[in-house]
Amino acid sequence: MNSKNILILIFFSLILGACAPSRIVKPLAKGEKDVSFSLGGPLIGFAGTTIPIPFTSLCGAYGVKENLTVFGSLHVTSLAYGVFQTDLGIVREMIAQKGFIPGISIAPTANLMFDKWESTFSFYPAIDYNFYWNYKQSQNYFYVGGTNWFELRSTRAHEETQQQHWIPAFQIGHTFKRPKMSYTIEAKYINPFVSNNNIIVDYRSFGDKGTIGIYIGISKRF
Amino acid sequence: MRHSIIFLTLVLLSSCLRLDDNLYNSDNTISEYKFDNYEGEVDFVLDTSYKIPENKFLMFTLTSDDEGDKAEIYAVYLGDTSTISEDTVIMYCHGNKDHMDFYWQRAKLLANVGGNCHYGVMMIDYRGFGLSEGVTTESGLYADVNVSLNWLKNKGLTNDRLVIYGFSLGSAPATEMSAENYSMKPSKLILESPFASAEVMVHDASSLAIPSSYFTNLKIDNAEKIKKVNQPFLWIHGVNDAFLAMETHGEIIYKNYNGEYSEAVRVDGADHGDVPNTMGFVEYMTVIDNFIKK
Repeated sequence: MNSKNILILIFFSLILGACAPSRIVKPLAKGEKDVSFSLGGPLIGFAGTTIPIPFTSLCGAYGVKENLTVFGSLHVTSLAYGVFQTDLGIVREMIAQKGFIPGISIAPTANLMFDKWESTFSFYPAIDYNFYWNYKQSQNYFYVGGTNWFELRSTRAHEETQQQHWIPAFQIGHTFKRPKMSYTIEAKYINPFVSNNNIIVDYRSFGDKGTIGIYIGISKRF
Repeated sequence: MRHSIIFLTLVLLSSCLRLDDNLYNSDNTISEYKFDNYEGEVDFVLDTSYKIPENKFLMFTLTSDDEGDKAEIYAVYLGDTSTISEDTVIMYCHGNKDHMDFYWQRAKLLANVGGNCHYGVMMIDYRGFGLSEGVTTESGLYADVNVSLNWLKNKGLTNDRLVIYGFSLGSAPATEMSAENYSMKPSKLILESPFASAEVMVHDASSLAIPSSYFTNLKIDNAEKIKKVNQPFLWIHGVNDAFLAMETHGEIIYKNYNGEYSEAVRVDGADHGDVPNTMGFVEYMTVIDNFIKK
């Protein structure tokens, strides 16, 4: 098995924590609804070039209170492979922005997966945090933050010990907010403390650790 | 009711895309095999001292039947076919790339173990590879190797003189033939840079212990299958294998082997496709020869 160019496709949806950008960085207004579509994923070497894996997902969100939003998403790419994957969570604004002091939000999330082939269920808890800054009197905002996935299984293939239980990522992004639409671009540094050598996927990164993810998103508010 | 409709809609929406076929990186666009004249990418090229005499080379086809799915597959035999009833033969199961031209140098190298054409070497293109007909499948791999073993058996080969060698993807049929009952039961098993299972590939790539069924229906599981192998086993793996990591693939297989004799050769500095040349051809051939003679 010498060619990575073809075989990377086999596992193109493997860093699941990297298959979507941050869902909701800044909570919606009370009663506000938001539907979004995102595209993008980890950068991989493919056919002599570097491309982001084209993950797609749909997300719906609702502002329960001024500082609390609930959301749920459907991973379309996974669905095409017979895997129902969703993440359900809440976003809470912990600190509102005051001048240059950023707003801070935290989003605990339950990632649920179920495949139609062997009816295998998986649950991955995750928690995101983001620091965001609105600027120039506009609704546009810039944000930085982190995503943390947790592997609860104690063993991996062939009863070997699962060594890694915390899969972190760090993100930086920007949202252009218009009256009814928003446009987001985000970059993630995924699994930055783990070597990306000696695995079947040709992840692209700053060095030999982790991988970089690139995402774009579009959303409409109601 | 509404929730049931939504659920059913999602199930219907979910299609049947699987990533299984991508495991097979075959090239079936060629119009002929070129062997020594092949100018495409290869892992290494041997000098003329390894040349196979014309009278010790045979290319032919076999009809492989995978439970009714018949395919005409191409095979080569390096050695004297008239003495198969007396010779020791290495059945070489190649990896997942392109076709036999890519692996020709490797087959020639094996045909020079112990001297030029000292051992017979048989190699096939699995269905879907090179000029072989059909579509590659997991069961097809086994059927194709099995029909090759049957051909050798009909030429007079006996189990005690059959050694099976699997490189990378070829570790699956090699292990399967050694563990289960097919046309012949190899007396020795050699695996070079084998993969443990699809599950390990998934786990290595994701850092998560996620079920492999989310991506593939492949059932190849050499790490489990090796438990049923009792024949002497030689495992060779590059320490720097950047494709199938030695620690998570080869070491698991080696650890799970419970048979009568095993030998491990961990090759410092070797990546996935360059074990023989990193070891040095002479050293590589010596290791193989010594194992076969044990």
